[in-house]
Amino acid sequence: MHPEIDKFAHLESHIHNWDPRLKIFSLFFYIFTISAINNLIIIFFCFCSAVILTFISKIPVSFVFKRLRWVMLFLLPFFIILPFTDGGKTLFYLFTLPINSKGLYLGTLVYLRALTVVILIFPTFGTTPFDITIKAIQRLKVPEVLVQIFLISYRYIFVFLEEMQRMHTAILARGFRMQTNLHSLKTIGNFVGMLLVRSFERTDWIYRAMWSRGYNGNLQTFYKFNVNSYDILKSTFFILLSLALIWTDKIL
Amino acid sequence: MHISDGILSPLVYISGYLVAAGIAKTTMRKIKTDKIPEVSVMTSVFFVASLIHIPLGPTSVHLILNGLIGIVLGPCAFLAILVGITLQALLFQHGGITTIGINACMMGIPALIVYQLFKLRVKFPLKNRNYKYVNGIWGAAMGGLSIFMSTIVLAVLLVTTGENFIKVAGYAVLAHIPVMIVEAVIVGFTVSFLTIVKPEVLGIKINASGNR
Repeated sequence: MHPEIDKFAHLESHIHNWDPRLKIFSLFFYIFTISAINNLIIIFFCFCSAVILTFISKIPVSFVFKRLRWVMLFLLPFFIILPFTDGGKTLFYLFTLPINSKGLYLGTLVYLRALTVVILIFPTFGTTPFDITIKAIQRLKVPEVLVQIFLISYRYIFVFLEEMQRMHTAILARGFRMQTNLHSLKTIGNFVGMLLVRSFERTDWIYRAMWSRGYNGNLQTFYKFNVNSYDILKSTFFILLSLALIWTDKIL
Repeated sequence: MHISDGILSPLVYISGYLVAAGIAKTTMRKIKTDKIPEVSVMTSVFFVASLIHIPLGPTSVHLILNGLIGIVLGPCAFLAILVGITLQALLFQHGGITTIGINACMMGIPALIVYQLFKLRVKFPLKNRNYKYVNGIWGAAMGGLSIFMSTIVLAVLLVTTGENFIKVAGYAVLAHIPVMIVEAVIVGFTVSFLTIVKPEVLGIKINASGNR
């Protein structure tokens, strides 16, 4: 799987032309609100809103689904184990194991809540090129050092992935087969070591090249942020929606 | 090893963010501009290594390498892990956005502890000058220990979420025992490899007597 979240950042939609700073801020606010809600009906509403938002952003469903597959699998243990835990009435028996109402409710809640937040990542970060996202994060007062590590490591990820692919081909060509034994583990250990050695050497060159071109620790991009009234309207909508949801959650 | 969104209570993940911000702030003071590329390398390696899957019976485990990052970067390891986890959450949807702080603490604090422990190895002078093995064994211990500490933190966090999660926490600990073993062996071999090939990465200065 390629770690390209901004594959569809070139499209045009109401989410794409939302100012990145406001978009990230208000959707983050929404995400944090969702993870604080404990009512299944409200979570279901949020889930629908996340799906609608993804549709508006025109990111292909197949792209989202392909990435969600692993997340859904990853979360499955919670959904499977929680219904068997104590609390509430016993609803029915599955092979002599009791399924409890409170556990089932909690399992569904956790699963749906997690899925909603993950879906919201796509309209938030999939609709802006990643370097502009990072620039926006910097404007949101994230420290300079972190922003730089962010930007440089994002570039390196693709370089190292390529390097790793090449090294993988090389060990396969020498007849290596991944098995569960000490030899395989030793090979992988050395593989990681070699990846580190090569990466450090390569970084050294890149750093010198950057330095000689005038890099002094500051980021320079040509992108200009501008906010129009629609952007403010969208952000206000999401922040008010979040507040309304918290309030409803309190009452119910 | 990650905690996803929507599991922990707001109090827990907000305090996770606060602790992570505190540690990041103190370690950020020590970092100089020329150290940034090095930290970025380890961040990317942390990210890329999580794609290496080791088959284990019917399933497979992926590398975490927070111990190795601790050994190589020292105090800056926390920053690398913090950014690495954020990138994983954003690019792979692995982990969660609300839990970036807590995940960074879960993996980053063991990395910091492991670095301090790894430095202790010079306190045990050995007649045996075969540093390839000595460092390898220390590396293996540190690699396993960092996963062990992270697993304990994970279990404690799940238990504090609610009594319904005690069972889940138990399974989580059980599932991480093989991860711990695999990680220990691999980090051990990596450290012994680095001792021979590029010892300066491990902060080892080579002098004329070959003292490592």
